[in-house]
This record gives sequence, structure tokens and C-alpha cells, in this order.
Amino acid sequence: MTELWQQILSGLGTGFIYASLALAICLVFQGTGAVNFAQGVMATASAYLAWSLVSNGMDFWLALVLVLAASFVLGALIERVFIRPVEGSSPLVMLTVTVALLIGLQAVVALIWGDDPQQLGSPFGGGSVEVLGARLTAQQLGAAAVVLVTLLLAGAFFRFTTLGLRMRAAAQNPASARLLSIDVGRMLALGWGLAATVGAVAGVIFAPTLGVSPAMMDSSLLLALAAATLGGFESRVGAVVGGLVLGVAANLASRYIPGIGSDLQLVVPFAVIFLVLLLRPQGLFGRASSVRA
Amino acid sequence: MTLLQLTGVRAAYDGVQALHGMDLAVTEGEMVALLGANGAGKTTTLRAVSGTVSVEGAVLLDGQDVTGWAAHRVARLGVGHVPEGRGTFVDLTVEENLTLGALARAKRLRGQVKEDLAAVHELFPILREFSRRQAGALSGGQQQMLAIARAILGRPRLLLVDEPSLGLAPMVTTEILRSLRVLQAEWQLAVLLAEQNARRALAVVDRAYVLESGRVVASGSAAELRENTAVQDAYLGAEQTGRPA
Amino acid sequence: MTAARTPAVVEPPAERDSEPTVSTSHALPPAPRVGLRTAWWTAALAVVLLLAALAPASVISDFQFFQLNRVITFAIAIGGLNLLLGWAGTISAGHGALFGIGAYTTAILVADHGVPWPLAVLASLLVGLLVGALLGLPALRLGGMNLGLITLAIALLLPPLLTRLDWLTGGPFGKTTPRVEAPPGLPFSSPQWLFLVNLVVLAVVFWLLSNMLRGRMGRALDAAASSRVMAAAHAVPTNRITVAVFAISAAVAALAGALFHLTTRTSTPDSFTFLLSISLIAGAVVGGSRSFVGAIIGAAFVVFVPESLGGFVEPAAAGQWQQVVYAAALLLVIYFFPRGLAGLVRQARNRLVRRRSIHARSQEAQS
Repeated sequence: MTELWQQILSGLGTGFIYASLALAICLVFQGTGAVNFAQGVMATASAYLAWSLVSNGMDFWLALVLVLAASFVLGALIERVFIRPVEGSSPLVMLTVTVALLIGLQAVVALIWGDDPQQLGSPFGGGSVEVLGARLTAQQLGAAAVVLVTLLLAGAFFRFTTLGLRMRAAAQNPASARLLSIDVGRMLALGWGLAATVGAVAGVIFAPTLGVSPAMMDSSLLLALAAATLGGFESRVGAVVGGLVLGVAANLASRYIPGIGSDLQLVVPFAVIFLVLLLRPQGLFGRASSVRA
Repeated sequence: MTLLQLTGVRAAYDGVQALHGMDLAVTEGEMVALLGANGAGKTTTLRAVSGTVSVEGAVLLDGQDVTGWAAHRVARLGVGHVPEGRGTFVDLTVEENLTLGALARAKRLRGQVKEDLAAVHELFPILREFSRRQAGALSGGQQQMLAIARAILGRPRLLLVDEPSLGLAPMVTTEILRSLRVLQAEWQLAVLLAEQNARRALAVVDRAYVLESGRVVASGSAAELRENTAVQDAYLGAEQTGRPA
Repeated sequence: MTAARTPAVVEPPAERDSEPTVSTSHALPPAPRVGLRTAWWTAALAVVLLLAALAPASVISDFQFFQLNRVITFAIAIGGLNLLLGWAGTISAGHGALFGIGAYTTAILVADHGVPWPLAVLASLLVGLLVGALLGLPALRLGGMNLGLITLAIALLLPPLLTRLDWLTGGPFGKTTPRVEAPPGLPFSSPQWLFLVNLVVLAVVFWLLSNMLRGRMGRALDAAASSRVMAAAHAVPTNRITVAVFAISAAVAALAGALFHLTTRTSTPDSFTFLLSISLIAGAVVGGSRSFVGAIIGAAFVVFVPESLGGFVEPAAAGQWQQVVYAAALLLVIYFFPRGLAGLVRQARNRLVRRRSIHARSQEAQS
């Protein structure tokens, strides 16, 4: 029983990575209609940036703040420069652009920081904590807490601020938003910036566990895409819940299903998604598309 | 004084010409109708003003040339547009829709949002009752009210309203047009109303332009046009039995 | 209005001429063009075959043939993918894996069971068809994006699975098969011979596919892609067609994979990663996803562009610079030719044809 509890908790821990990336993907998708394959590598760049600052003697938390600001700017800039020219294009064209960004950005990261994996020390120390009978490292717990706070802040931003409301309006009906003097282009850039920031939180705070390397976010990105599918691309809450569910499912599967192991643990989340989508093609939290007429 | 002036405005969608040199003017505080059948260019004229279709010619707002401006910049000058199909944010609540409307107003008018909201609620009580509901869950007539209320809360100087009667029962249309007139008089806003149903529109507006194939073919005060049977027969007869867009 | 003068307005009729697809107007009987097209293809093919056969090694080296073979096999796979992207209005992020399944099927049959390679290639095709049908079934319920993400699953799972099932697949070292030699008496090296084989397969597959798309199937797909509701109202069996198209597309990818294996001779799990799947998508978009000429252009792009920069930068970072250039090229093509490079070829040809016809007309007028 304790063992199961332990597995669930550590699954939730990794689930937070997927959840925040999935939220980022969702934000971009709702705004620009692009499935952003580069979301993971953008987070990787943030992690490298943090590693550079910290290894040059900067305090971890100060570095985090700076990196988040830089990531926001970078995300908004990417939208302005690379996405703007294809705004409103077919999903396929959008997808190819983000794939090109993935390929290019990954190479740029490797050119700047090299291929060798780097280590970023945990800001939470090496201790461990007991939570209702399960043992978690301080890093696991702290990282999860930081991501949780980020997700709540993001939720509050969209729910309670007028800027958040404007962004939702621009995402949902750009034509009407313009008539209400909303600069939709700026909102989209903000959306990308925000998405990059949310992704950067995950990238930096989980860097001590994942290790800093050009490919550090690859599998997380795919699980985040899966999570967004599971939750329904239209739903921010759904994406987060989807990420957590997949984290737990993957962890339990690799532990309890004989022969699965870590290389094939992806089978289970995809099986889950498959079943969910067969029953609810719009995802767990998505709305059937007919309502959107 | 003249608030809106269109001179020789031409516009096309995908190479199909919709406006062939429109000339019209709206003075401050008056309510003007654009009449004409489907495809006469009513919607395109409104879109030419709000910057949601690209045009040639000149669109002057309060003396300022806004031809070719992005829609959100035109809106900031005080142009509200209730578009064809209403354009409500269906996934947002009624309250959020109205807030977005109020956010569009000029900074100096931010202080009186509360009073204005109260006035709008008084005019359309249903919007207060359903304020927590998703806009998509409202009926067509309620959504139309929401769309007008949202645009009005931006305190525009010029309000463009596109076919508010489309798909609505006659009773509801009459109610909506009457409310529009009340607000227009109270807040001294200029209204340009595109409407297929000439009789109903002429009952509330000051003046009207009659459009055909992207041009103005007749204009005059509401009273004149009501009397003028020649114009009625030539251009406005068909839509009484006409199909909705 | 300036918009009236842009070529976009002139485009549609031109496109109807040249696309190997159904015309947008469903009433037009598209049949008469088949004969002409076939003649075109056959003639082009014959010329290329002849040239290739005559080329001595000094003109086209065996390595160059090897590269060309990669292009052709990729082109076949992209052609299959185009069925989904360009016509069915859906996406597959797993065609790299289907390609891999085809490669491994042939590799295993030839290496471990002594099956002659032509039969093995055929078997790959059938396996692809089967796997595609199984994958296509969820397409009954899942539209566009969701289907894409489900196919992502096989793209991700295939490599570890291939590593894991080492009794069947040879594990991380994969399977190697002997060189495919030309029949005795023919003066071809192995890459030359494979080049001919691949070309013939490419021509046959594209010919079959474009005929299929020109018939009932194409019309049904167009109807289904533009509006599922409309299609259903006209009694088009949307779901069945989607599954069928997915299966066919998968079979073509597997066939291409089989030929690819014959070219490279060794298949390992990491030849068929997710990256291959997205390269195929990129190739389809770059070429133009509603064009078979585009499939060839896209394949050439995917094979040659990343390698073209190899000699110019310091070797240590060469791979990364290649990636950067590849990404930049991809972006540029999308920005400037959102409908693919095939559109460029089409435009050039139309301009030529138009000039010729104007010329002819002016001559007529003079006489």
C-alpha cells in the first residue's frame, strides 16, 4: 500500500512537468491554433540559461526570475518573427513551422552550450521528506510545489485580470476582439510569451532531476502533447489534469505491469488516451465542437 | 458636424467587387439606416468603416483619414461595431462579454462604467439575470441584445449595427430597435444601422441611404423615404418577402 | 481593388489543369485526361531509365545512386502521406514508423527466412495495409488532430519495441541483408539496378494513386474533407473511406520502407524514430501536399538540404549548422510557398503553356 502511494506521488511529481508543458501548448494552441512542437526545446533553452547563470555563481532563485523574464521575451519574439507570417494558415502549415522551430532551436541550443549533459544543483538541497508514509526528496516536493503555484497563478491571471480576459477573447474570436479595440496580434505574442514562461518554470525547476541536455525535454514534450489531447486542446484545466494523470499512469505502469519497463512506459498513457478518445473524441474537458458555431 | 464621411469607397472580397464607390456621411448624434437587399453592400459598408475589409477611397472619421487602419485602431477612435452574426464570445459569460465592451472605452470614461452598466441592465434586464451564464447558452435575441449592449458599453461615438433583426421574431426586433433608439438619444451617439427590413428601420431612424449593387441609389429623411413609393417599389419592395441571408 | 490583380485569382483554373486530382467541380467528367497523363509519365520514365542505364559510373557514381534511391523511397512514402494530408484532411505523425515496419518486414523475411526480395517487398506492403487498417479504425471516431496524436504513439513506441524484440528484430544492431544484385546478364551495379526498380515502383504507385484520386474515391474524399456533414448528406461513406485511405497510405509507406531497406541493407531501431515521421511531414508540406511531383521535390529537399552544407563548416558543429540551415530553409519555403514548391513548377509550366498557346493563337490570326 505504501509502495503504491509512493509510486503515485512520484508519478504526480513527474506529471507536473507534463502538466506545465501541456498548459503551455494549450495556451499557444488556443491563441494561434498551432500545436507547438518547439515548446519543449524552448524550455530546454531556459534550463540552459539558468544553468549558465547558476554556474557563474548566481543564486538559483534570482536566476530563475531572470530566466523567466528572458523566456517571456523570447517566446513573444518567436511569435512575432516566426509565427506572424503564417498567422491564420492551416494547422498543417503551422505544425510544420513549429517543427522547423524545434529542429532549428535544438541545434542552436547545442551550438551555444554544447552536447554534453550538465548538472544543475537542486535549490531544495539533498534531503527527503516523509509525506503520509511515502518518502519524497526535497527536490521532488519543492519542484512540484513551485509548478503548482505557477499553474494556479496562470489560472488566476486568466480568470481575474482584464488582460487575461482580453487574451481569452482574442483567442476565442479574434474578429470580435478587434472590434473591441483589442490588439489581437499583441495578445498572441503575449500568449506565446506566457506559454514560454510556464514551460521555463518546468524546465528550470526540474533541471536538477532531468539533467540539462539538448534532449532533456524530448519525452516530456511528447507526453505533454498526449496530455493536451487527453484534456482537450481547448481546456487549460484539462491539459493540467491530463498531465498529472499521465505522470501517474506512466509511473504505475513501469512499476506494476510486468515487462513494460521504462522504455515502453509510454504504452500506458497512450492506451489511456486511446480509450478516452474513443469514448470522448473531444477530450476529457473539451467541449463538443458543435457548440462553437 | 460630420462624424463619418465615405468618399468613393470601393471594396472587394476575393476579387469580387462589393462596393463600387460609396459616398455617404453621418453627423454626430444622428441615427442613419442603410437599406437594400442581400448583396447590396450594407455589411461591406459597415466593415469598410470599422476596418475589417480592405478598401480604396477615403474613410474619414471626425476629419481623420482612417482608410487602411487596423480594426482595433479604428475601434479606439470610438467606433463600435455589432457585426453580422453578432460576434459574441460564446465561451465567455455574459458578464465577461460586457466587461470586454467596457474595456474598449476611452480612458476618461472609465469612471462611469458602473452607471452605464446599470443603464444597459435597465434596458436589457435579461442580461443582468443571466450575467453568469455562458453567452453561447443565450437565445438568438438575447445574444443580439448582448452584442448591442457590449458595443454600447464601449461608449462609442459611432455605432455600426449589422442586421439586428436577422433570424429574430418581429416582436423581438421591434424591442431591440426601440432600445437602440433610446440609448442613441440618451448617450448622443451616432448610429449607422444596416437593415433589410426597410419599414421597420424607417420607423426608428432619422435618415436612410438605399443601396443597390454597392452604390447609393437613393437617400433622404425617414419620412421622405416612407412616402416615396417609387423608391419603395424599385428597391425596397423585395425584402418584405425576401429570404434571410 | 488591388486584390483583383494578384495571381491568386488566376490560380484556380490553372490548378485544375495540372493537379493529379479531381476537379473542384464534381460534375466535370475527369476521365479523358488519364490517357494523356499516362503517356506523359511513361515517356518521362522511359527517358530517365535509358539515361540511367547508359550513365557510366563516372557520371553518376554508385553513391549518388544510393542517394537517389533514398530520395525515391522517401518520395513514395511522402506520396502515401499526401493522401492523408492533402486529400483526407487528416494527419499521421506515424508514417516514419510504418516506413520502419515495412523495412523490418523485408529485412526479417530476407535475412532469416530466405524469402526472395520481391516477395518480401510485397509482404511489407500487405503488413502495412493491415497495420494501417488497424490504425485507421480509430479514425472512425477521431478527427484530424487527435488521430495525429494517436499515430504519434506508434512513432514513439516502434524504436523501443524493435530494440526489445531482439529474437525477431536483432535488437539494437538490427538486421542486415545481402546486396540486391541485378539479374545476371544485365550490366547494372546494385545501386543502379535498385534505382531502376525504385523508379518503376514510384511511377506505378503514383499512377495508381492519382487514378484512384481522380475517380469516385477522390471526389468522396474532397467532399468529406470540406464538410463531413455535407458528405454524409450525400451518402458518402466518410468513415469507411477514411479507414481505407489510411490503410492504403500506410501500405505505400511500408512499401517505401521495404525499398529503403534494400538500398541501405541495414535497418536498426534508430533509423525509424519520430524524427523520420516529422521529416516526412515536412517533405510533404515543402513539396505541396496535393501533388505527386511535390512528393518528389519534398523528398529531395529532406534528403539533400540537410547534407548540402556538410563541407562548408568545421566538422565538429557541422551537424548542428546543417540543422539550422534545414530549419531556415523549411521556414523560407513555408513563408514564400505556403502551398509547396510544386506550385512553383506548376506556375512555370502554366506560363510556358500559356505563352505557347498565345503564340499559336497569334500565328493563327496571322494566317
